[in-house]
Amino acid sequence: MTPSLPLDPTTLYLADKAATNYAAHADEIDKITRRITENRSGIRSLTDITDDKSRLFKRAAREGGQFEQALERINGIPDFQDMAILRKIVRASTSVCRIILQGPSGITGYGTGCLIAPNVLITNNHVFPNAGTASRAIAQFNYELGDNGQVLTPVSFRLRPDLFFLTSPYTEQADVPFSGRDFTLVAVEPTSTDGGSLSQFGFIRLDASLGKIIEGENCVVIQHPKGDYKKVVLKDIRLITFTDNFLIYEADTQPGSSGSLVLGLGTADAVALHHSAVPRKDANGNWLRKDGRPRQPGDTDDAIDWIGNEGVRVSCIVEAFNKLAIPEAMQPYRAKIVEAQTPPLVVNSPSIISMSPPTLVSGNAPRAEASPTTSAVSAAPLPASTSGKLLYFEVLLTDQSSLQADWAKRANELVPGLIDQTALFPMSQEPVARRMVYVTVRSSENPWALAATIEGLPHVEACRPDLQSLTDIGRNSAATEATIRITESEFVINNGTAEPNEEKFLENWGKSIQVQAALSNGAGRQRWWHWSAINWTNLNQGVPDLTEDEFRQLRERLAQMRLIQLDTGYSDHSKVADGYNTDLDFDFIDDDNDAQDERASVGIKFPYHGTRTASLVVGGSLADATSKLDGNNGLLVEQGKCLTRLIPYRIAQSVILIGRGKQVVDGVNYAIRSGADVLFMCMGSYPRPMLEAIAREAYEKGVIWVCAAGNEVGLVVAPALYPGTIAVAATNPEDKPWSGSSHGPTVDIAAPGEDVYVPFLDKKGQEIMVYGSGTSYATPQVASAAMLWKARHSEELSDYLPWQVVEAFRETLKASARKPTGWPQGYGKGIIDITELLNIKLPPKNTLTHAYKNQKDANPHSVGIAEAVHFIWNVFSKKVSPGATESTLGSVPLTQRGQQALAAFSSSSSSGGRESSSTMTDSDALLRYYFNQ
Amino acid sequence: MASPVFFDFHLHPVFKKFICKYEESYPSTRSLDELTGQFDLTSPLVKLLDEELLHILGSQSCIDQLNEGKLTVGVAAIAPIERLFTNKADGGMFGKILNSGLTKPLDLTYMNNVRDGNVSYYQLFIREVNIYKRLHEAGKIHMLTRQAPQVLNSPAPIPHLALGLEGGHGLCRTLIGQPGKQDTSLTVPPGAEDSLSKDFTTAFTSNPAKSLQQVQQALWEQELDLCYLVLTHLSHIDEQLLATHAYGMKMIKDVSSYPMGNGITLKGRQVIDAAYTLEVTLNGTKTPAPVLIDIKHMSLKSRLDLYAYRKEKKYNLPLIASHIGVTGYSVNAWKEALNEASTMRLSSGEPVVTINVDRKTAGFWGFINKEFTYNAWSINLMDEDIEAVLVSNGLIGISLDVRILGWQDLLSKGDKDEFMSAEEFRFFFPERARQLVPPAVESQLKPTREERHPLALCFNILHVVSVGLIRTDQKPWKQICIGSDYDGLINPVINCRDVSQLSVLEENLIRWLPVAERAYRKENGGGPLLDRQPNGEVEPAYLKGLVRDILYTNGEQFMKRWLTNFQ
Repeated sequence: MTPSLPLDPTTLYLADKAATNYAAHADEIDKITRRITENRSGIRSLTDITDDKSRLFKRAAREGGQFEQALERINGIPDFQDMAILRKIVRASTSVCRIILQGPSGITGYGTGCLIAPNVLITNNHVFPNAGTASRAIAQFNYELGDNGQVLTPVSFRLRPDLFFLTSPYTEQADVPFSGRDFTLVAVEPTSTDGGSLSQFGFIRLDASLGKIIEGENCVVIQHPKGDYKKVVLKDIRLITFTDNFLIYEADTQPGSSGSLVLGLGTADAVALHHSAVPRKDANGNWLRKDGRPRQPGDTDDAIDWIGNEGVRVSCIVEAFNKLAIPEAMQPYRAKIVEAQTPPLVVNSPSIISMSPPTLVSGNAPRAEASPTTSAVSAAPLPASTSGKLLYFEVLLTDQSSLQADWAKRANELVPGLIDQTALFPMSQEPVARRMVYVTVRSSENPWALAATIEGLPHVEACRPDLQSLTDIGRNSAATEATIRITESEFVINNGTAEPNEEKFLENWGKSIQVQAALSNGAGRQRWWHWSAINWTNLNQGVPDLTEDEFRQLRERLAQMRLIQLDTGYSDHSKVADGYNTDLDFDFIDDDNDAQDERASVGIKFPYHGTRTASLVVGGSLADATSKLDGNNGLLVEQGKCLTRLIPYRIAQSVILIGRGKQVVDGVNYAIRSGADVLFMCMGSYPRPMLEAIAREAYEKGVIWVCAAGNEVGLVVAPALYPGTIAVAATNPEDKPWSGSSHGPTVDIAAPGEDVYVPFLDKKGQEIMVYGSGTSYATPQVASAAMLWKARHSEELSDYLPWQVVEAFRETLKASARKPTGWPQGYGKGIIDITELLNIKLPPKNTLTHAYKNQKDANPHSVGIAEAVHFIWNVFSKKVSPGATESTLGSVPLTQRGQQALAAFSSSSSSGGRESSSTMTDSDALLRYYFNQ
Repeated sequence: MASPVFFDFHLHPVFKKFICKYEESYPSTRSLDELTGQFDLTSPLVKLLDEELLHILGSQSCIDQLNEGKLTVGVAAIAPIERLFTNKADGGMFGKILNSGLTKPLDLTYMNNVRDGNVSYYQLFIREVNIYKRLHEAGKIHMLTRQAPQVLNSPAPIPHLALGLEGGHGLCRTLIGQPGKQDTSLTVPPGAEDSLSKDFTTAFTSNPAKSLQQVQQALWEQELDLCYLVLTHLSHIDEQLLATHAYGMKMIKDVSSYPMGNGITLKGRQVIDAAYTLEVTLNGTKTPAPVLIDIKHMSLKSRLDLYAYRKEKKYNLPLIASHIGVTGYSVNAWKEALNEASTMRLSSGEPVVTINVDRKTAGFWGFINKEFTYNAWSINLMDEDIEAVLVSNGLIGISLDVRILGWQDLLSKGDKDEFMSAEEFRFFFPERARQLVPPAVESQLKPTREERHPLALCFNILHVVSVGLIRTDQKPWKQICIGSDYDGLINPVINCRDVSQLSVLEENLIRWLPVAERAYRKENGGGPLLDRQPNGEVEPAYLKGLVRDILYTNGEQFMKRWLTNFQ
């Protein structure tokens, strides 16, 4: 029997403060309490107690599987609990210790603590207000009764506040950040007073994310009440509400012990650090006793009518821990704590490389941007309940219907850790697309190894990880200048700015065919040279046979049509600021309705990729009218007015997108379903099943998707290589292919892309224009032409099937192309001629052939090949741009499958050592095999 | 006194019988008795579904019931079953049935063909038209056509029905979900061809405006006539997007139930042009045969687009709203009442916005001061919508679906949420759009037990009248009718579960309109909506006259005007 204690001033203060907090949330508490009562009497389900849908969703996500099923599991059967939860609670309880506070004359009090890292414990600040108190205290584990009621042997450890001590006072103090959260973290001696190891007691991870518990669920409190043997409160104690920093839950008959750990019974995850009970008060603010009378001096805690308990939220503790300043000497300890919360996991990331290196002019190679290939995932704390990270997979199910049905029913049994699985293309009637599902799994396995396991299921034909990662910018932001060597150009500085380069341009191209043609229109027109190359001036001259009325209709039509840019988002660069439709943009990366390029600031590499590609469609004038650098407007701008405003969808964090393929698919899917006319995308990657499927989907729905063929990699990249898209290669002012342009039989057309005049920033952040190269710059010209063409023929095209619209464009584009003498193979039919494009007749419907007509469903490559390609693709990127990736490539763990696939290609094509130059040849063979080129 | 007759602006008399049996060939050869009777709720189905769903599935307006209820004039709407109703996985009403293994009462062949895209919506449409044609030829009903405009002057004692197409998807002649593939699956035995089947098999078009033109031509050749077209229905039709629809499907969570896009599309405008200017050629003579546009199911933005477009193109044909409820708000007041909004990403990646709007109080009733509110979902009409229809000399049909009329659900807050296209949300709430909270869980929108008192219907009628008196110079009492939506998967008002009960509805309206009017004015102000005698009472004959107008005369008059092309 634990003795009753008189109420000390700290307890009085905290309980009073808790009562105030309680009163401030009285309405909410009243509502939830009512609902809990309804739940207890069986008329309301547990998951209907909370009004916070977001929290409920996150709570359900922890259960895994479909939302409905997750709710069912949360609701469960009243009074029944899975054994697994009890086991977790028991495991957690071993990390809980009794804290013995000692003064000069012996024991002065008790508290409860808990290990949250291999050698750090947490308790309340009012238990350890300062390092001195902690240094005199003992943390005693195993102070509990054994199976037969015998007292187990406690194991005592000294505390080491000298190594690590971080606290948030229990009183709120204006000048102390994060005060009032009443917690202390302190290092523990790794060896006990009698030589035992601390590691045997494990530790509990603190998970700051939401969803560990919802209102109405039960709490479990593990504690040493008043210093007694370790106890766990298993009574029906419900969580009532969340306040800013605290949780309020129902009262036990006894006030809990300070520093106890509160777990959510549904997940066995830590949700709070208990710190105070809440007394009932009367209207005058007096505490009331259980007998209803006001508290009298000398009353012990047993006499008080406790109506609730309050604990500090784990998320608030983690927030304070992350943000509080600590002495330099303690930093290594802090790092260890972070590490303990977050098991490190290295994942590969698919990369999408841009097709427009922001450079220039000189013939110096290499010119392409490249992407890093791996990134260590950290930062976001992982749930303590499960180890591992969310991994994403695109899965192609077998076409066998029984297996499909079985998958639908049992996916969560078949794939351990499965959180969710949904159809990737629920609206598609294409047989292959209908079999594609997107699977979310929580696991700490290597994603490629897990993909191979999933692919091994009889239900699955192919499985590929859709790897999540941080951006390279996120990883490198602290050392941008040091780690990024993007180019050897003399014009683009390492921090992503550029310098005007017109002199060099004229030196290189002044005598070229197209610059000469441009200059014949007037001095300074060299900046507009690509207009001559594509034979375009303006609508009136381009389509001379239209009447005034028809012109008006054409302009109206263009204003109504939708041109979507899939890129890094928009910026406020004055060259393009007026050209965007920021009412309809969307950010598929950050999941909001603002597609602003948030990285678009000086100091970040390659800012404004979307800005540069957009400028070729909707570019107006630089705001600085005195700038001598302005020039080269967008093709859809007439007399300063945009014919169409561009709708930006942000599907890439930076031009070196490291994101999930699903984000691209989401963007395209939304574009299709919202009625897009033309899409363009100036980025690409290696082929992946879901990109292939979405390219086909766009085609079947009649959306013209113009894609850059690719830079520096030789191969035509995805999505440009798919039959449904329009693939664009790049040319130079001499009407010759740009040497960096990808080429191959899938290229439809070429357009100027080498040294095109585009907006940039100089190193002072001033808006300038420079000459830059890439198929990225060729692509928007073809997209603009597609808009003009579709608007011009909108009535006639109403009678075409959707795919016929795309095919009619492709045919007309090719038929109208200008083919310079000596035009090489692999760059399409020639250079786009927009005036001719708009003036030749549409091909009759019955002459058009569906792009996928003779396409057989290819057998998907094995997961090992895909892994090897992923690896090689990134090695290749590294070769192109060494600085960006070399620091991380070494940590890519290739699975055995991947290694075997790679080895097969090495031995088949090279006699020499793979380490030397032959690596390139091997990669090339593997990529060509995979790209089918 | 002869027993009263009734009018209904929107109901589906053969829909449930139509989907009971899939016929391989066209035209239909099913027995007429089979087609006029009630939908058979088999006992396994009764066990499977709860009471709510049984009310929805129970027969509400089969031909026998029309006769019993003396419904002599009305519009038979055809809504080809959309793909979202065939989704097995969504756990909704149809999912339950489709997964149950039951082969009756629904014919799963229909459902499978729709889900797997083996058929076009257009084919489903003309097959259902064919059922009406056979009933017409057998003298069971009379199909109205502008080729015989005098028929309502001395009607026979059978239902006289015009045709309505509910959902522009019904114009789509490519396979469902496969806009690149013409539907060639209609098999017609030699000699059984008719104008509809000939047009369908020989004059394929993927242009919905032309499809509308062609189907009206073919209908007229069979002495049938399409009266109105609802541009959208309950789902987003990827393959032929005419306009953004208003969210309205609580029981189904298929991705296509969520609105997307931004008002009327180019195709939608072309269909509107075709509808309003349509001419058919009979015996070498061109005759105007325009089709009315029904604003039901269109998103609010689509509706506003429509009014602007009509103004721009100077279209003057009456606008109609065939089976609606009201929000009680003007657009601005509705915007003010926005409570919560958050973006949600569908599993396939598209964003939609879930919004929660405070409901407008219609009035209080009884000692307990029971509050009646309007359903604030934007599928219901705003004051601007009411004004647009009234001013165009159109007709407003009030739905008998309790959910539309403002059913109250006290148990769960989530039930108030609807979904809106992310783009349209930004159109109406540009400021709010910047602070949208991140995705939240989808709310569970299940119908629950609620108040089905006829007062809810009265309040909707009174609001239309009030708006009409305040905002227009029209005579709103003359422009209101019932558009029950019977057999359109509705949950009917308790006093009038099916069309045979219309006379009970009449009693209720007479009883409750004066009560509701007091309560409405007390809450909402405005001048008197009913003429009252000096003693404060409403004169019985006058009141009965108003109710008669609503339940029959207004509709009958409107159909007479339609039959003469509003000359």
